Amino acid sequence: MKPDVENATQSPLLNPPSDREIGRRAQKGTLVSIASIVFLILSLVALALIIINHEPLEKDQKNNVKSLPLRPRGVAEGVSAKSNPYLSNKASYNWTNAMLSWQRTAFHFQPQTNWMNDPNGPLFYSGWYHIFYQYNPDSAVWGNITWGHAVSRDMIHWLYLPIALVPDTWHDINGVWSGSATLLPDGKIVMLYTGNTAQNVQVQNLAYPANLSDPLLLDWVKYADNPVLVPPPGIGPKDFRDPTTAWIGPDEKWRVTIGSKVNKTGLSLVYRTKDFIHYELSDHYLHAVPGTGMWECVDFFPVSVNGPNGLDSSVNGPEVKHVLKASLDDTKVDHYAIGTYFVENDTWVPDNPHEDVGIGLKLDYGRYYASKTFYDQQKQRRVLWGWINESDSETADLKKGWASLQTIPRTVLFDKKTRTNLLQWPVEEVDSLRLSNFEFEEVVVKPGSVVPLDIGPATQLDIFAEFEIEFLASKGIGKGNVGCGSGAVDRSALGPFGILAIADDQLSELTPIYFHLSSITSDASLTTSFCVDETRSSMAPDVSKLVFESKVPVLSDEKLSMRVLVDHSIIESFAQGGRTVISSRVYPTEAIYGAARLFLFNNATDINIKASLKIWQLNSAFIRPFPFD
Amino acid sequence: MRRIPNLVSSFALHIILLASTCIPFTLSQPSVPWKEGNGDLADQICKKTPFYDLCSSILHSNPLSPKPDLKGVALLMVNNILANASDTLSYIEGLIKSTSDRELEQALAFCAESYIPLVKYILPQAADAISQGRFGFASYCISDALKEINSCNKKFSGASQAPLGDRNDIVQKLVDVASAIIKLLLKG
Repeated sequence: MKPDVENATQSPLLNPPSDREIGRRAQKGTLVSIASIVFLILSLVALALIIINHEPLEKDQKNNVKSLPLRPRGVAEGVSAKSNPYLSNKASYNWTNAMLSWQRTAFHFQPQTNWMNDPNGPLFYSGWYHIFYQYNPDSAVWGNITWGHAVSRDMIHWLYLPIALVPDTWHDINGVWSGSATLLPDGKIVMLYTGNTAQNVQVQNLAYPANLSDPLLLDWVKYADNPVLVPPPGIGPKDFRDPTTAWIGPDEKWRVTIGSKVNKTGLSLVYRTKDFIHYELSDHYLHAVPGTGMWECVDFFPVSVNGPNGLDSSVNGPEVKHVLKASLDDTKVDHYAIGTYFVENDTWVPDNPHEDVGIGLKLDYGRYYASKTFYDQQKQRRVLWGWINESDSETADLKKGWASLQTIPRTVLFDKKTRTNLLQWPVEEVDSLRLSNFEFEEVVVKPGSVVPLDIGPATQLDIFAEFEIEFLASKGIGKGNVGCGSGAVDRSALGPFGILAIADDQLSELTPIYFHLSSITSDASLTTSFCVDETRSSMAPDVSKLVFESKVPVLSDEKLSMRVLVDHSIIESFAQGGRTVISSRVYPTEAIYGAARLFLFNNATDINIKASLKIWQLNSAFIRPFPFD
Repeated sequence: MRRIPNLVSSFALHIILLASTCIPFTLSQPSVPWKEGNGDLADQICKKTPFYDLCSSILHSNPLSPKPDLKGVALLMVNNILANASDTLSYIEGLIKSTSDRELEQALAFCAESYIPLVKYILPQAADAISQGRFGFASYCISDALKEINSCNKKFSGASQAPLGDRNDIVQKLVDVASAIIKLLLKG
C-alpha cells in the first residue's frame, strides 16, 4: 500500500501546532520563534496562576478536589501508593462523556466498573485460565479490597465471575491483598495470600477451592486456622506481603518467598513447608539488595537457557537460570535480574551484580507495576501479568466509574541472543482478534517529515514495524548518548523516528513511539534508545505526561523493529522482539473515535528512514459476565 | 481419493456412528423407552433442531433411563459428541503419523490442537454442567465446542484434500443439534 508521501508534512515535530503553517520557511521560522516565546510566557503565567491562586472552579469540582486525599491512598494502610495526589491539584479538565467512554479498552482485561490493581493467583486449571485481581467493588479508587475473578479459554476472551475472596475474617478484615496459586501434583490447588489484619498487621493466609470438580473454581474456602505465617522477628508488621507460587525442592519440601525490607535494604524471605500450614523460615534471605527499599510482589521462576518453552516453577538444573523480580515500593517500578538459584541453601545470585534486582533491568519501562507470572501447563509457557494503573486524575476516574487495566498477558523467555535479557511477547491468542490488515513496504521518510498511514480506524491496532536507516551525510556523528531526551521534539542526527499513535490530523495530540540512536564519535557502534513520549498525548492538563525511556540492545544482524498494541487509552510497545517493553496510558481529547490517526515520522536530521509495516485492525474481546442461567 | 456419492457415504457414516455410540451406552436398560409412549418426545425435540434425521436416529438407537426427559436427551447428545470427537481425534493423530506431506501434517496438527481441549475439557464439562442443571454453562461450553470445530474446518475448506472427510462435518452437526437442545433447556 502506498502512503501519502507526496503530501507529507515537511516541518519537523518542533512545537505545538498553534503556529502550524505550511509556507515560506524563513518567515515561518521567525513566526515560530516569536509564537513559541509568546506561548512559553503564557504558559509560565498560567502555571504561576495555578500555583499561586486557587483555580476558579465550579462549586462541585472544588469540593471534589478538596475532598481527595493529599496523601496517596494505601500508604497509611501499609501498601504502596495507589493514587497520585499531584494530579488532583491540577485544574480538572472538562472531560465529556464521549472522551471518557472512549478511554475504555476493547480487548484488555478490566472489570465492568470500579478499581482494580495487582493481578493475583493466575493459573490454568481444567481447561480454563483464571485471573484474580485486587478489586474494590464499591468505588473507582483503591479501598475495600477483595479478590475479583474472571476466566477465559484463551486469555483474551474473559468472562467475569463473582468475587472469590472478601475481607470477612479478623486476619484479612482490613484487606484481602495479593497472593499466588500453587498447583500440587495431586491436582489440589493452594492459594496463599496476604491478609491485613484487624490490627493492620500483614500476615499470610491459606485458601483453597471449595470444589475442585467445579472447573470455574467459583467458591473458595479459607483455612480455619489462618494465618499460617506472621511477620518473623526483625521484620516489621507492614513489611511482609505478596507470597509467591511455591516450588518444590529435592527434599520434597515446598518453598515460598515473600518480599520485605530491613531499613532500606529490599529482600525476599524464604519459607519451607510440606503442608502449607507449618513453615520453617530459612536462615538466609533468597537475596537482598541495599538501597532498593521494600520489595512488593516478588516473583521467582526458572527459565530455559536453550529450550523454546516456559518451565514449571519447580524445574531446576544446568540448562536453567532463575529470574528474581521485585516491585519496588519506593519507585513504583518492576525490576528483574537473571541469575542462579542454589537450592542447597535457598539463595540466589545475579549473573551481573551491577544489574542486580532493583538497580538494573526493568520488566517494563512505562506505567506498569505488581506483575506476576505463572506456568501455563497447557501450552508450556511462562506467562506474565502486569497491572497498568491510570495516569489521569482521580476526579476523572470517579467520573468515568472505573480505574486500571491489566496488560495483554505476555510469554516470557530467556533471550538466547543477548543472554542478559528476558523477551516478552503478547500471547499468540491475541491474533484471534485480527480483522483486516494493511501492509506498507519500504516507505521512505525524509528528515523532519510526518507521513500519514491510511488504515481507517486507528484505535484498536496491532502494528508491526521495521526500520532501516539511510545515512545522508557522513556516518552519523552527532550527540553522544542522547537517550530519549525531552521527547520526540528533541532531535539529533540519528533520531528520533518511529510512529505517532492516537494522533489527530492536525497533530494537536499525538503519542510518538520511537527509536533514537546515539552516535559515539570514535567507533561505529551505536546505542539505541526506545521511547514513548506522552508529553503531547493530550491537551488536557490533568494527565500524566512523561517520556518513558529505555535502552535496547540491538545485535548486528537485527533490523530495528517494534510491535505496538494500541487499544484506546493503553499502548503497549515492544522493541526488538520484546527485549524492551514500554506500557503507557493516553487520554486524548481530540484524537478519539474516528479522529484518531496513525503516522510515521522521522525527526532526525542526518538520516532517511525506510519503514515497512504490517498493521491489523483488532476486534473487541467482548469481555462480559459469565453467561450463567 | 474418489469421492463416494454423498448419500452412500452419509449413510455409511450414520451406521458407523450408531454402532460406535451404541457400545458406550449399553447400560442395564436394554429396552428402548421411546416406544413406551415416549416416542413423541424424541420427535418433539428433534423437530426443534437443525438436523432432524440425525437427531432422531441417535435418540432412537440409544437406551435411556426409564424416564427420558429433555435433560437426559441433552446429556445423551453431548456424550455422543464426545465419543465422536474422541474418535476423530484418534483418527487425526493416526493421519499425522502416516502422512509425509508437511503442509497436511501442519493442518492436521492444528486440528488436533482444536480437538484436544474439546475432548479433554469442553465436552466433559458440558456434560457435567447439564447433569448439575447449569444449563447456561453447558450452552457456553457447546458454543466453545463449535468454535473449535469450525476452527479445524477452516483449515481444509477450499483445499483439494479433505482427509477428515465428513467426520468434522458430522461432529459439527451433532454440536448444532446439542446446542438447540440445550437452548430448549435454557428456556425452561
